[in-house]
Amino acid sequence: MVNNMYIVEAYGVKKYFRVKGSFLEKERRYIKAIDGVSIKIEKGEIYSLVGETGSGKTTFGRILIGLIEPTEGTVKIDGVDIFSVGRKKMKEIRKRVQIIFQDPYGSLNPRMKVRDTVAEPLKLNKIDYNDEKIAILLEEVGLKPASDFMERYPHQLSGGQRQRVAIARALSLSPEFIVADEPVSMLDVSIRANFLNMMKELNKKYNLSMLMITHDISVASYVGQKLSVVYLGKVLEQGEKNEIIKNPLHPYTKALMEAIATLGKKEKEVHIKGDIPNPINIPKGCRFHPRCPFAMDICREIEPDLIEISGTHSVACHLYKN
Amino acid sequence: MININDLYVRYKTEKGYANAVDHIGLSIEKGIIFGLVGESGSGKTTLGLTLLRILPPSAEVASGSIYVNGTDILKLDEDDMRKWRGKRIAMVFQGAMNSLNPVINIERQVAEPLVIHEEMDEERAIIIAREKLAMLGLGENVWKRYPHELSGGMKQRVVIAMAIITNPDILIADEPTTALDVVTQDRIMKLIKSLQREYNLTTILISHDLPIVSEVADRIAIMYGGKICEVGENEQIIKNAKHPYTIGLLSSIAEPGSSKEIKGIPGEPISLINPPPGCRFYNRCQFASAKCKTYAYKLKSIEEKHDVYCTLYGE
Repeated sequence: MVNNMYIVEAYGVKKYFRVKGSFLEKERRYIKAIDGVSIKIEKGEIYSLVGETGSGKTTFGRILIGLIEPTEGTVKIDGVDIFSVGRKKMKEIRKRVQIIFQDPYGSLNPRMKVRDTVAEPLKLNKIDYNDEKIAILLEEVGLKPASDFMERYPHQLSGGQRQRVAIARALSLSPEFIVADEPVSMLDVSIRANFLNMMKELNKKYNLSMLMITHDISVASYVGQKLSVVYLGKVLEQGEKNEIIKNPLHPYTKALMEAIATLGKKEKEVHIKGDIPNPINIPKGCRFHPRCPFAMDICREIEPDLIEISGTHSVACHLYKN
Repeated sequence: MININDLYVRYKTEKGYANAVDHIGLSIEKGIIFGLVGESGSGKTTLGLTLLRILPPSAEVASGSIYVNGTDILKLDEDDMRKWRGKRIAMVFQGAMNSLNPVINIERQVAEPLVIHEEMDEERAIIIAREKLAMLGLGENVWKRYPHELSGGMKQRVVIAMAIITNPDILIADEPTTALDVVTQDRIMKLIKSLQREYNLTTILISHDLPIVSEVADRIAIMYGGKICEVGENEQIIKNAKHPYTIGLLSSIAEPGSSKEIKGIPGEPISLINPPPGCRFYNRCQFASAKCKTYAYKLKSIEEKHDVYCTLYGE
């Protein structure tokens, strides 16, 4: 097999969901959840996807691991196009990718003990395991001593502990890529930091690649090397995290950075108008133009392409020319 | 304006009493934004509910007093309390924007407190509702719409309009920015700030999010395990925190562009049921010593207006 540099590649991925309307409607309407997104995630990298509610970031994360089939576009995992391979091959690929969900209260089976939850992927894949292996996984995610947790049910755990169980379960098949969908947004602040630090450690220790989906640009700025800012199903800015955080170019990224709360009393000026529109009616031209304080005539007509500003920083905005 | 003394509120559970508000004292001056910061299960929402006396049946106020403008509201009978509730003290509940009535339009919902509490005729109430909505940045095009047609930020404004339509003296806002996007969060905070500036509204801002609170609050109290750990002016808490829990919270916060390593607090938040005697933060505190186990939460003043409850600063 060729040695790929990228664990995940997505090219021109689109996902349209049909809106069920009245049969009297002449036109079929679609929610364009993802409307042409390309990203490449290197092996061993943490890649952050930042976007508001309704930006399509969760849909995209699920497409990347084959849980949702895209309307258009290709997704490759370690060079293999996952939506054109056969079922058997897909099953093999599935083992190499995992996902953890936002809500640790909803993603664990309430009737299963921690031991069984963590062991389930092994059982389903007919891999031998014993308590020792489960204990190693639990201690790996900071549930120490493991014997204290094995026999517990989810309701006997705090939110942070549940999320750690979800990670242990994801790690049980030694995956190479994990999609983490808002993993800390429901955790308390004092728990959040340790959880993010643990994700960073797992990434280093196992060269484990991750897609960190978050609405919080400070989370994205704390973990990971690369960043894409998505808005209504499209990438507006993409590149090295440090470059984007230090020098955000797109007016939307700038507004997100301006709006973020930091310690200390202040009044901030945030340059953005209105709210995110409904993805059924995506504005013509640049989809951000109705909210953009710098919108020009061209922005109302022509959708800007993602252009490279430097080798490691791209932006989709008419204010910039390459 | 508000004086809380030795307030003790507990919930009856199968496993014993949960001490949600565990003998705390606070005073809140008129016209300020008072931030009440704590993690889930710290008792901050219970404190808010107690101020309105709308605790669930499983809860009881076991001791203490809450003086508002010289009246102990815990001693008012239910009829008198009803006159306070909504009219003088109003609350924006956590997640309230998801509890709007889907089949009543916005202006009628906002007018409803006036129709019910002040027996105003609906036409007049709707005119006032429109004024309030406009004041909060919701123009004519929104008045006749229904909740499902509004964004999260707009719904939160509607809920705030409903709370302040009776011109209360005190507004309690419980997690008003949770589940909103950063841009909308910022707008809601600006709105709360402008209500203070223009109407001298005293606001108790309950949140788990210290950065958000610190951008608008004049004073901040930090709660943990049903107790107040530290209370002070905004700057005193942010720049000169003394309690190990406050220090831990501050070091848990990631700020974009800063390369500092964030460190959480080890362990898990304490259960409010049968807490051990002494400091509630004992098992997670890196400075814990034997005397913390018997610590009786005696207030220690660090500087003017800045108090802390911790053995590090004298017992």
